[in-house]
Formats: sequence, structure tokens, C-alpha cells
Amino acid sequence: MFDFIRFTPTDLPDLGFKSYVIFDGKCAIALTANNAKELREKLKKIKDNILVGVVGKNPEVCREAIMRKKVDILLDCIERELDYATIKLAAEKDVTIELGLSKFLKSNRSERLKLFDALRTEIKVINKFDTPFVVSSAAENMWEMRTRKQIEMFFSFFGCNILKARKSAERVVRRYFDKNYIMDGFEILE
Amino acid sequence: MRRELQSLIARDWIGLKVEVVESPNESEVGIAGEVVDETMWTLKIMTEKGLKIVAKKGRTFKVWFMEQVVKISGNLITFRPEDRIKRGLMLLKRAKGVKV
Repeated sequence: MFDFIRFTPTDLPDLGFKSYVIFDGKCAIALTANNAKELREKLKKIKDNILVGVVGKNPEVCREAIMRKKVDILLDCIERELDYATIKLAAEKDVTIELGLSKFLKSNRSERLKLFDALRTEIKVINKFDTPFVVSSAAENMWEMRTRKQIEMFFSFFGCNILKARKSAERVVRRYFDKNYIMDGFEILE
Repeated sequence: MRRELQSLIARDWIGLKVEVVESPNESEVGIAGEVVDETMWTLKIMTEKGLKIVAKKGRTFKVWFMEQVVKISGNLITFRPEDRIKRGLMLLKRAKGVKV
């Protein structure tokens, strides 16, 4: 199981993860954009062979990100709103959706309840279309990090299939960091 | 080298050494030999015990190609051999993280 984090940690204890995917611009990059045009311009500058994540703060950016071949993962944030059509499109275009824990830690009371409601709906639609998804802490600092078991138990309460999430995470990581992996169902053994 | 290995999905398999690694039918696992013919849904493999016809869908094959061993899912090659040139390249172009 891999954790997708937004900062470079130092002196981490063993939290139960196989490894961490750090969006620092070297092996993985997280893009933020206000509109589709800005996102397209940023994507043009990115080289191949790097894991690209997009922080979708509005539905227009999410939809544009999913349509792009360069984008591998749609990162989670408080402002993100995923609708039915976007999740269905993500399944067709093979873009992984991240379900992060940090937005629940940052929110309070009624805002948190609304996020829970939205999460439950998203998970229902993800399960319906078998969209690839990952569960992670989405941590921006070390205080938001949690153990693997805590994250998995939290999301499984809302109906997530954790085994599928682990498989999707492994697929995304192997694409760029495993030399013997070509694509799903196709790999070099010797 | 990697790009030539990638082309395995789009090329003809007749003459290649193949072994069935995974299959919903347990008796098919372990069938190994040379591919003598190919249709849209099946591979005809000449083994020591004779000709075996194995379906492609749902199976995983080990293929010996260019001095390397490659593991490939049968679902990726379930096309007619003559169609696979175009469809195989299309699959590779659509896959993320693959340079064609």
C-alpha cells in the first residue's frame, strides 16, 4: 500500500506503508489550476515519465484533467466536487481518483458532515463504474499523517473496497517506477 | 529493446514458445509449447503430448521473445491476428506511461 503525500518527510516511523509517493516535482508532480486553459498550459511543460497529479478545485478543471492522457491521478482537496459524469469518465480514461483523509481533519462540524455525505456518494458511484481509486492521507505536513490501518478502516466504513484501492495504487506506482512493468497484464519477467 | 518487446502485443505469435501460467481451467495450467496457429479467440499450441487448443480470454501466458520472458494477459490479444497489428498499437498508444 502506498501513501500519496504533498511534502518531503524526515524521520518517519513505520506507519505500515510499503512506500510513499511524494509530489515534490522530481518523480511526481501535483498541478493546481483555476481553469482548463491554465491546466493545459501547465501540462504542456511537463516531460513524460513523471507521475502527474491534478488538484481539482473546480469541476471544469477536474473534467479537463480526466480528458488528458498525461494526468494519472486526480488529487483530493476540500474544494473538490466530483459529479456522476466525471467519475464515469475517469473509469473510461483510466484516471485514478484519490480519496484523502486530510480534508476531514482540517474541517469542522457541519462542513465535515457535508464532506462525509459527498464521500459516501462518490464511493457509491466509484463502485458502480469500477473506477480506479486510491485511499491516502493526502498529508501536507507530518501532523496529518496517519497509519495505513487507520486510513483503510476509515474509508472501508464508508463502503470502499480496500483491496481494489491497493491494487490501483500499485498500478499507478508501477507504471513509472518499475522497469519491468509495461501495462496492465503485460510485464517483463526475465 | 523495450519498444520491441512492447510490439509483442501487436505482432504474430506463430512460432513463439508459450506457456499457460494462469487459467480458470486448472487442467490448462502448465501447457507449454510452440504456437502453430492462431484464431480470434484461441491459440493452437504444439506440446509434447500433441496439439492443444487454448482460449485466449481469461488466461495468462508466458512468452519467450527476443531472449526475454514476458508475461502477458490473453485479454490483450483477443483479436484476429490480422487485426492485432492495428488494435495492438492502439492499445499501447492509449495506455498511460507507455511510449510507442
